[in-house]
Amino acid sequence: MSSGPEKDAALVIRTIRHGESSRIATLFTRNHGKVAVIAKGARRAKSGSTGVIEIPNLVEAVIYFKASRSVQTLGQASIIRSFPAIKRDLVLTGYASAVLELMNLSFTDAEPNPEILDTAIETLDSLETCSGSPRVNLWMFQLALFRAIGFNLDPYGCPVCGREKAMVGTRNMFWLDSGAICCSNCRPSNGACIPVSGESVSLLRNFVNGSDRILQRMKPSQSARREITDLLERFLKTHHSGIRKMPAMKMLESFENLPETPK
Amino acid sequence: MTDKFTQSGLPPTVVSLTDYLAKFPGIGRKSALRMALHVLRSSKDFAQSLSDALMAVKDRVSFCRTCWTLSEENPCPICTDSNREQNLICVVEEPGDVIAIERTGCWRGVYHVLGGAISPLDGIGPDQLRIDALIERTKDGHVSEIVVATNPTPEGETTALYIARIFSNSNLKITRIARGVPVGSDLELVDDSTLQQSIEGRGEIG
Repeated sequence: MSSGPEKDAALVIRTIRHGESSRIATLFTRNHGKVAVIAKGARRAKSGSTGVIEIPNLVEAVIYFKASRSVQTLGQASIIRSFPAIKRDLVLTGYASAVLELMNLSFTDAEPNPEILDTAIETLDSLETCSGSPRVNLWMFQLALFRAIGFNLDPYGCPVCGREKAMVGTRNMFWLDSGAICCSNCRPSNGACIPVSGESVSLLRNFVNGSDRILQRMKPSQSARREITDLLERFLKTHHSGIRKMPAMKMLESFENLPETPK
Repeated sequence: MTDKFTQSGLPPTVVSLTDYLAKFPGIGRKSALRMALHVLRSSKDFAQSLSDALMAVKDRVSFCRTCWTLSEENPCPICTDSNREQNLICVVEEPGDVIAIERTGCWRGVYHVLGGAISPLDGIGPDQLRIDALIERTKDGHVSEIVVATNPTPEGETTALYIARIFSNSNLKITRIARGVPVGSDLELVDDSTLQQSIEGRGEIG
């Protein structure tokens, strides 16, 4: 890490209050990955960074790096995109929080990944403009994240018997260790498996194919939604030892079950 | 740090007092030591009064069981004030927010202190706040409006949106305090988000 100020685009993925009027923020920067910064005076009404260092803003930040410090100092910061429509909607806020939570939990500090940053921004853009189902957008982000951290789903042929077609429409097992779908008869003796329906297998195949248009047209049943949401969460927890709890993901469900606000 | 201070020749009692004072928000060790030395220089009466005041706060102050603000009485003087409009509830995050609004002298309704704000990323959900108590307060039908005065932060906004959602099927009027440009500031220095909200929430002059 070089010393001195550097300008970088960053997504604000987490903030906590610090002292009387400051804020410590976790930024996911394009060039340095996850960086903790202190925004001094950011909670004062007349500070230049009030309202800037807030989730899920995309900002241009000047960061003063010093290798010996774990928390760097934020200089100037300005908003590139503030996603106002997300901030005005409880459920979209829940989805955006889930995206930010995944970014925060899946990466360690100073591990740059511009591709996943771009994917996260695209996902937030899709939520902001309400293009497509927010749930499908979140699932697609999760799959991109798995690829970025080196784990792939393989919902095609059963890794044991090689059968493929029989899977759709029947009850199958998702092998958490390998990320593959296997027939219930071929269930491996080692490693945890979870049951998965034919509908979910079909959805997963469209994910892996990257058939966004088909996916956005699909209307998954409630049980398939629950199944895939659970499967993706458990797959991540299986492969990422640092992830135990995902509170934002859990809270999203409760937000979705609330009554609609009349327009 | 304690070892360093002990080694500096200070009596252990002064070090102990400094340690406690340094636990106050915004007080560093240097300020804590200055305060400890001030106590030493002051009369014994001052130290006794300080000690009594600290204990009195712990013994007498508690949460009002109606609005959950800090008070020596239960219900608090605000909740029992007949001159206040009991049908208007201002929802805030912390007791300090009640003090801030009371300082303005412009609110004639009552309060409800949530004890925080919803923060999905920190795992703070509606169950950890006093939202059920707020719902309970509205059940007898005498409340007509809830003014959500949570902080204009993502957590405060999420809480406001949540409250609007849970009361969406009731006849209650749910309003949000206005957001915008701070008094005395220059427009060109105000961030885009604040400026956008102030334009969206603009009001008629006169």
